[in-house]
Amino acid sequence: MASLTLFDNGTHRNILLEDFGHGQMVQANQHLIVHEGHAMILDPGGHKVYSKALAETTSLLKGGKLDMIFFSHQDPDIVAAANGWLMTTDAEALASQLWLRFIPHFGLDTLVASRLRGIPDEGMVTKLGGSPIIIVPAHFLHSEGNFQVYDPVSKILYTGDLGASLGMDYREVPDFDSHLQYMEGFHRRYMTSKSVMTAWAAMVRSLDIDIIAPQHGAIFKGKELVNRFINWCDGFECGVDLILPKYKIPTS
Amino acid sequence: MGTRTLFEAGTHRNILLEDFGRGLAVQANQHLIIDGTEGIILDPGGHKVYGRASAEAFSVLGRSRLRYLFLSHQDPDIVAAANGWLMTTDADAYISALWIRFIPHFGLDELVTHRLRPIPDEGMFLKLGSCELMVLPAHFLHSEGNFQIYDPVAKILYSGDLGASLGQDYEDVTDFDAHLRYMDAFHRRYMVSNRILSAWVRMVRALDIETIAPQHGAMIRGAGNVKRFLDWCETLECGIDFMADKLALPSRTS
Repeated sequence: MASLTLFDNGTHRNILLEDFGHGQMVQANQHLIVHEGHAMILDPGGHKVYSKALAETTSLLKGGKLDMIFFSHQDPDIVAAANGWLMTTDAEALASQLWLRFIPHFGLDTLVASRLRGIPDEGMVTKLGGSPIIIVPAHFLHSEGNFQVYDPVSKILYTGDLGASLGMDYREVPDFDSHLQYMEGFHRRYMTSKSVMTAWAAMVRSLDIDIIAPQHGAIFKGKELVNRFINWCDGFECGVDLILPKYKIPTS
Repeated sequence: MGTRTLFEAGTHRNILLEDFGRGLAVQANQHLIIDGTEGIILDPGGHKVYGRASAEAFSVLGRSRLRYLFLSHQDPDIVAAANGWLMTTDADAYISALWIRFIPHFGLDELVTHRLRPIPDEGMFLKLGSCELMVLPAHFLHSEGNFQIYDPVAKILYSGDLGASLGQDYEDVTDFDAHLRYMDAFHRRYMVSNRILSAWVRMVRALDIETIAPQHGAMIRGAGNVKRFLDWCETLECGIDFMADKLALPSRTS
């Protein structure tokens, strides 16, 4: 197990905890943002990666403190170990207000439930050791209550399931066109609609983005690949645009 | 804690395990269907209810065997205790093919992962005792990979999150208009679009339904109330109908 530094200017670091996926599980990336000893972990994952991810995080923090745990949405690969993270740190957890009453079904201890905070539908701007972190609304991409994180210092947009890819063996997308085969099927079925994809593309075009870092698979590094990805999302048909033929009483 | 029999004829029984909700977790209904010597539990819930729900389920099952777990979708209130159920029974768990690789993140034991079985997008039938349950596609209501169960013997449609209500203190809807206040906001925000709701209504109008039993809150019983519910769904605007043009960068500071 190892980590990959995506950005480091001396006081601000962005680190990818490398692939803890194995066995039957979908591969998942865990991301850390550290600013002057204050850290935030994004989508820290389920039971099977919990102890390794926690050990790696503690080692990378070098005595710093985990202030925030960000849950992009309610899926098992994201929130199953929420209780462990909350019990072993003083961090606050942020999740869409839509899922606040669902996450306790994982067995969240009452001691820590008060540290689970709801993000309003509009998103919010929060601070990590004084550095602004923008929580960007990305509802229905795929989850009904879903957020992304933009870090204006490193210019990284953490997109959660949007931009996820499965099955390739590289960590940085080398060529956009040949990468499409690893992400197209997932996006057509899990993302909700062309109207939402298009609205998202319009929103993020106003951000200065150097890297798009999804929760599964390879990252898009550099403005050219970032723009190719945003252009690909703009007008992309998916989800409800294509599902209606399946709405039939089953016959076998 | 108790149980309520929704239907019983011969060896076919439909049992509601009553409200295990408490504290901060959203209230959830667990349903059992038994036909002859075989049973199925629908959306058996998370860690906090597992001990009591399983004790009650085994007591209701008696000498019948739990053959299936049905997981309508991937949310925590549905699947968090999947491992416990699989470890203590020899049941097969059925869930949308979309979520097969996500559920193991809960810490599913390798001994049981082969009993997690995918439901294709088109739905399927599950043979239970001498009857066949229909697994109906209900994708994007709310989850992208989401199914409902129709029991043609009891004429109950188990609708998962569709029809869910929160905050009322009754188990059966008697006044549909007065009930709307407990369902409306949830459906407008969590359900994905009117196009999907109306496609669902077109599909289920072909079924003979006496009861709609959601996973949260009160049941909609009787042909009149069922029709009112379908009519309501058919015109309801929700989800992306409101949200799609509203994605904007936040300006508010916490």
